Amino acid sequence: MLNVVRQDIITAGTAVNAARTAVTSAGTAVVPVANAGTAVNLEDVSKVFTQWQRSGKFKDLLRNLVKPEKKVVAALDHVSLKVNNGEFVAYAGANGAGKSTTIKILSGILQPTSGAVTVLGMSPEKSRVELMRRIGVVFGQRTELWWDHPISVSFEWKKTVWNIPAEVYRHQLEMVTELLDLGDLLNTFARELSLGQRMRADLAMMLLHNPELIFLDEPTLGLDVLAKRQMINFLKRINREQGTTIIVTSHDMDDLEEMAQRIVLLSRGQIAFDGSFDELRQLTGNLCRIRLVFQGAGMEAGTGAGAGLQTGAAQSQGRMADLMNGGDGGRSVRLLAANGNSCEYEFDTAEVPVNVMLRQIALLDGIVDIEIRKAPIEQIVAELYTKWRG
Amino acid sequence: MDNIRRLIQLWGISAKLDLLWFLRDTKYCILTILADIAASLSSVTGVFLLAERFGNIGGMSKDQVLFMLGYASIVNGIIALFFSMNNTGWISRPVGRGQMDHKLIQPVPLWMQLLTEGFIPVSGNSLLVCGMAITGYAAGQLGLAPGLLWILLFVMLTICSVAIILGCSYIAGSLAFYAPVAAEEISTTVISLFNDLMIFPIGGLSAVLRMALCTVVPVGLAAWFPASLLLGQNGVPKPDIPGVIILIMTITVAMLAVTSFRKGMKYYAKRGSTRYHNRGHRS
Repeated sequence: MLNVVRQDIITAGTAVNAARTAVTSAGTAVVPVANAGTAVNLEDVSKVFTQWQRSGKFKDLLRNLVKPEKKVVAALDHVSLKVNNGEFVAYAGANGAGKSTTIKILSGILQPTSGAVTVLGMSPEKSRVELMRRIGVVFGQRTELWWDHPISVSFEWKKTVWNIPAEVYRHQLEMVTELLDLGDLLNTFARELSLGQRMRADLAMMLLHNPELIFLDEPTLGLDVLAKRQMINFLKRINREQGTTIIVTSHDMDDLEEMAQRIVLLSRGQIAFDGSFDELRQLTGNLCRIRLVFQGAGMEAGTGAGAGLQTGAAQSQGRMADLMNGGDGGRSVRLLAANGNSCEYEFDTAEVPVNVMLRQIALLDGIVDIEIRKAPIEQIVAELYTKWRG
Repeated sequence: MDNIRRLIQLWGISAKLDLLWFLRDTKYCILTILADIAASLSSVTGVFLLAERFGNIGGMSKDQVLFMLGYASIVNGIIALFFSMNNTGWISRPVGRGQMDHKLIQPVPLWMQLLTEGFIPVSGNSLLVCGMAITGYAAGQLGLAPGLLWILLFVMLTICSVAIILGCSYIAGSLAFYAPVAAEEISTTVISLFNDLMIFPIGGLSAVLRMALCTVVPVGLAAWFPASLLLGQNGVPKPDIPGVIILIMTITVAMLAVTSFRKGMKYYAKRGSTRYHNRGHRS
């Protein structure tokens, strides 16, 4: 059964690749070949912006007029990055770290101050028109849909402007309509769509020419849980089944972890981390969280409601205190919260192995539930941001 | 040849979008057309009434003035027909609003987009139709018998006038690359300047002023000068400025427009835009 499914996927992938060839050959005759295996290559790329500093004081009037003070901001500072074909890369960083600037440089909208940029073997600056036939870009806070038309009309507009062959268009339209559940929305005006629906429609429109490489800038911004889930599942699927290379920026680390295999973290215009999410976690130690739920009233016979909890929690805290205070080799466990009949702790598995932790917990009375999980990636990244800011 | 095929395809899809708007929002589309007709008629009525009252303005008779007003309406009508959607004629708006990104992610050369995406043959034809009607009526009143050469000259002069107005809009509009907020509406101001002044026959002004209005601020080349040339072909006195000036000015303005816009685009690629407004249908 598994083999059959696999075969289906491979067949679908082959069909899509054939369609992709059709799209590229529909454009100009010469289609540059991408570097073997490399979708994106940034070499020592810097991008500097100049901000004019003007005061609102009379005494500075002349200076503001003739020679205002300049402040130079390095949005990207000697960034080198290589993304291979078929990768799903999360591109993250705090506000102003340079994420959107990178996406704009890769899309040919902005030019770098220095360094070399290659996308699918082409220079975005010199081969913008050809490159746009082969990549897709979605800026989460903007739309490419025609506001006063049903989205099917925007799709037709895209077909003409991108010069998409009829067969590719039909294939892609069927796919995005099914996978993004757009059937009922095709005749709805873009202005009447909810944010989640609009994002789905924008994503669908971006995929109509079957791009090999996709840049998504904050695609989950403002989406509710359901819309976000649909989008994440869809992106994972086209990456897995069609081998589409995806580079996505977001502030939502949990979303990124769910989607991408690799994360590139920017800090002050430089790549501060490039690796897997597991490797990222190791930067701040292998932090895990353990939540213990104790029996409620009646755990200790005859002591009344709440007493059992207090006893269980007290025991728990005492045992954990042992761990924290060197009772078991000076290892650290930190109490995060004690609410109702549960306590939550954080510990570093490098310092307190899980088996040691479980042994300690086994000595506690009245535990009805245990939950161990990795610390949220948001927390890891927040700690890193704080550390990098100094 | 490929470029011509692409231009026709892109004009076609713009026309289709406009037609679909008419078919879906017929009531609002008709209201828009009627409003455009009222605005265009009212803009030329004042000068026509003056010509009616005094019989002669700036060396032109009432019917000659009417012919010039018809020509002006045709020029404005062509701009409305081909360069309205997405404000392609009012270029400081998309530039100042940070909307060039939308154009840059399309696999179409920028010049081709600017030439085609503003085309609205259904909702934007009223001014052109009015202009043609007025010009035809005036030509009849004047007893003009246009031959092929005259028609070719008419078409060429119209293209020159359109190019001069749009060129000035692009020259000024390029300032929006550097000052997106302050200069967002500067193209509107420039086009309004033409709309307000091109309807006056300036033949009665001094030679220096006439020359200034045909070179420094070339509003005279938008209607008065070409209309005078056309009427001169039929025995009406020609203006005392050489006819070739309109060609020279068209080339000069077009070159300045292309240079300033390209320079602005280079600046945009360096700086990007620090503001963004959503695109709208007729914003």
